[in-house]
Amino acid sequence: MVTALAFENSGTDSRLPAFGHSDGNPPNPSIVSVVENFIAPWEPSDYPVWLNGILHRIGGSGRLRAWMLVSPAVTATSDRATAGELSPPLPAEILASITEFVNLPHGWDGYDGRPVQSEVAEHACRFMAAISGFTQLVPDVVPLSDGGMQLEWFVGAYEVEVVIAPDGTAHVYFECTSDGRIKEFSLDDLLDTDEIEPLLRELHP
Amino acid sequence: MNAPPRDAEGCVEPHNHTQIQDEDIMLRGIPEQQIVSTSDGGRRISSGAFSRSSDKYGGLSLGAKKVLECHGRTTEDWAAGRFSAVVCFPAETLRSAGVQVGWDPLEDDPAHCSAWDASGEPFPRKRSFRKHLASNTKRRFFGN
Repeated sequence: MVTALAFENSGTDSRLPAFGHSDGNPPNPSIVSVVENFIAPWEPSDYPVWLNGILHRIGGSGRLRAWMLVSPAVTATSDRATAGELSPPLPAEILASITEFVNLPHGWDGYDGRPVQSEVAEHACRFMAAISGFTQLVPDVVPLSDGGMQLEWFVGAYEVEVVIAPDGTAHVYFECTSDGRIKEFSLDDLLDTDEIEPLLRELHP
Repeated sequence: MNAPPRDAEGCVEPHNHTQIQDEDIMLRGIPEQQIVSTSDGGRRISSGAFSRSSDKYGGLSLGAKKVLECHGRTTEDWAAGRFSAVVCFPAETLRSAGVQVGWDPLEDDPAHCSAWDASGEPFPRKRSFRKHLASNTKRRFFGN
């Protein structure tokens, strides 16, 4: 399952390569790459980009440019994700929030808070893509002081929170206030959604 | 206040400061990014606001109201321009849940304290604990 995002290349940064060349196809002037959960900045100088099912590391430096944001998110096909298998793009507001969190200044929380680590942002995007098959509910996303991130769903009597730590582990909390059920567990592999799927399905009436 | 214990690198080690009494009011400043809009138009503080810091021992940063007052400061001017909300609770709320509360002064924030798991581990990540904390606090939003 792939979350496909298309970037528009306005040509404002001459250091960035012409996306699309490396797969042998001429670059499309409006849809220049198909990537999996591409959240920048990636440090120090390589951008991992999925292009027709092949991971490319795109040289370049600096932080995410505004033109690289998903605007608009466009679905497309690739060797890895044929039409019909492609996940819906992540909501633009979620991507905007995550991008903001990755670019937070040190001390953003009034203490010594770190910006959300780019690996955490990537995990979060992959996780949201993985669960998009059984819930379309958009979570609230919250940056954590240690560089992690939290996803939250509050729907009626249900609360689900997923904490993604900088070390890549995840912690899940589920509560149903109407019957008092509470479940809390850790996940080594956030993309293994077997445990969390039934909990998220409960959010749907 | 007695100086807190420090390690070889000068970092304050997890401890329970004896001059922070159980009834002393602790403050946790909340940045805008950790306040979530609710479906009814209200605002709530995410439990993520009670997460560990990035420092060596992973404590939860706090302020001690009585130390602030000793420096002639109020909660309001401590929070101004820095936080969008402040939650307040007695140190006992943490200690009763097995968390140490120690003094961890910073150059620009002499009232700064930290909370660590009683075993010296980082502040608990368990949401059920953070919910316990969130449900035993008074909160005040600034603006909006």
